[in-house]
Amino acid sequence: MKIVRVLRLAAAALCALGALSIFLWLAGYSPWETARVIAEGSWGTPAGRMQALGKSSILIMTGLAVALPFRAGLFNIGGEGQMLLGGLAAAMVGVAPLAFSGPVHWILCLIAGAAAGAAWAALSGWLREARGVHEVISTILLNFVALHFCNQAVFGWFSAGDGASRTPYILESAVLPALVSAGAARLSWAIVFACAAAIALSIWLLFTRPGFTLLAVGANPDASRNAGIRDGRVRVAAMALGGACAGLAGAFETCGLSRAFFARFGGGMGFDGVAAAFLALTEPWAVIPSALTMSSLRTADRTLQLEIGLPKEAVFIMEGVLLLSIAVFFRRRVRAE
Amino acid sequence: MPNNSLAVFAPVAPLMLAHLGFIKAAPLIWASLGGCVSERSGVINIGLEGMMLTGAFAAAWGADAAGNPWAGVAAALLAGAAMGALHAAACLWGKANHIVSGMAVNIIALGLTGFLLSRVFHALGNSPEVPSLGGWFIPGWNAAPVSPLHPVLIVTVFATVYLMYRTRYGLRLRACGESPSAARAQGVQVTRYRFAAVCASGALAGLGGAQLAIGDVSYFSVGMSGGRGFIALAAMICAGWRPGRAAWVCLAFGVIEALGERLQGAVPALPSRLMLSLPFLIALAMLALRSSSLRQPAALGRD
Repeated sequence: MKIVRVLRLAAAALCALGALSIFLWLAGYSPWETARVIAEGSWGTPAGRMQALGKSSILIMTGLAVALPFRAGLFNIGGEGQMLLGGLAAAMVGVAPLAFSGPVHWILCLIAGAAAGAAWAALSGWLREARGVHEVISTILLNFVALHFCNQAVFGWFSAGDGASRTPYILESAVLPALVSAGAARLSWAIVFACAAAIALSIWLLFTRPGFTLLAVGANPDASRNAGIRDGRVRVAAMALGGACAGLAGAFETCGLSRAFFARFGGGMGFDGVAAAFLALTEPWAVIPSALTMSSLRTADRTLQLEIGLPKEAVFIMEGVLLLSIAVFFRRRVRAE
Repeated sequence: MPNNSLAVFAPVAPLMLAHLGFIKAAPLIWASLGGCVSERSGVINIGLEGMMLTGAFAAAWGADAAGNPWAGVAAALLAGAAMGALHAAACLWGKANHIVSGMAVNIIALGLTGFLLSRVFHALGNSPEVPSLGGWFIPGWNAAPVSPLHPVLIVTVFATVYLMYRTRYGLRLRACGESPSAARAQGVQVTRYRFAAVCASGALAGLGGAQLAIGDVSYFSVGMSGGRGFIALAAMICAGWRPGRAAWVCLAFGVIEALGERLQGAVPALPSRLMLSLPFLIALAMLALRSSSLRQPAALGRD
């Protein structure tokens, strides 16, 4: 019963908003002001809108990175590490002096990013299937490994030099084409790709055989095995798919937004993907509105700090409370069916 | 100590290395004890990282506010227990998915500590210096001072093992994690035991945070727990959810980390940031080698 689930989601969101309002009020901020500043700061100005949509493209992908493996019965908390490696891979391909014309260069960058993320996630999947290591802990540990590896790249072998904490800028041909640009602000086609991916994945899950296989393994691994499905392989593939999404998120950031890989890349948006995925009840197309909501929070965090003095870390409190509320309202099975 | 790579092999070095390893391992041991207590009662707790971080901040805040580091320790214990209570309430009353709730706790802790750092200390990345627990320097022992919290930790490890395996309460706790229906049939209030266990695990992780903030250093730094809560979970799993063994695994871990640091100092050509990933790789390797032969509490994550 879909309506019931939407109502539950609304109830969860309202509860979270209520709890957050109490928290803000106790801390001396006005909940209404906070909401207003968030809305205005992210969607009120053209520059803000472009930034919010730009961040959304990344959040959609990191949300998909969590949602898809979850439908296969796995927790992919490794979106952050997969995103970092994807961004780094895209930056590496981006500086390669390939004399291609047209979109080939940035397409290669995106592919590199997706592949890097997919490989990293598949590692966790393999560890689970071959060695019995629970994917929650392996993906979390691998996040840290990826973080330090990427930091080594940024400050070591792939540094832009002169003490800059970033890699060299990618070539113009590797930058994603602009969808909209107004002066200095710019929105790339990443948002279109991300939305297309989300919708395509929902269709894929519902109407294709591999998609159904993934859902089957998530719903009942034993029955799937009896039906002849190699559930171990499906799980590894599901992790790889999720990792590819997260890697693409990193590639979108490198090729669409920042044009280089740098320290503190992505600002933790890999973790936001967890909240985005569950806010969407792990349904791929629903990750779009979910990511738009979360990116409003993320885009407005500095504005919040400037206008009402709310430290930008408060955004994490909001995310966490929302995630907790959804976890409580949806009990054990935070699932779309 | 002569800065010579061969100095690593000097006669008294193994003992010093063990001590340094213990210093590194102490926060991990606190957290893994917490993990064992919680998961043995049947509640998955991946929020240990957030509980440790909260404890670290509370320790800095408490020590600063009262001018006494032990007030910080008490604050860390209470703050950790409070975060534990949040996780327990969500999982046991709200029937939330344990893993999602744990992740939420981690995210909330990150936000809350950053937020409070800004409000209470008016600082951005690090808090100003706060009263720390200090330590005792043993003359002639140039490894590191002995922090007062370390003996407390050792006693706690023994106490936890004793409570878990030699008392009625420990048996009931383990029953909650293996077969809650059987426990209920015996009259055990499973939900209460679990709630208490999760709060206790938060308190223990919080004390680990106190060790970090006012034991090893004397300030709070954003994200200072640095993944230790997760490494503690890996240690707990490797130890088969046994607190005594988990403490040994954490110690081994700490020694390897200390050795890695020595190696780093001796061979400066090693990529320093990559070496930081060593703890996590080792934890992963430990899990990869052991996981297939381990058995988790039967009712872990279930009602």
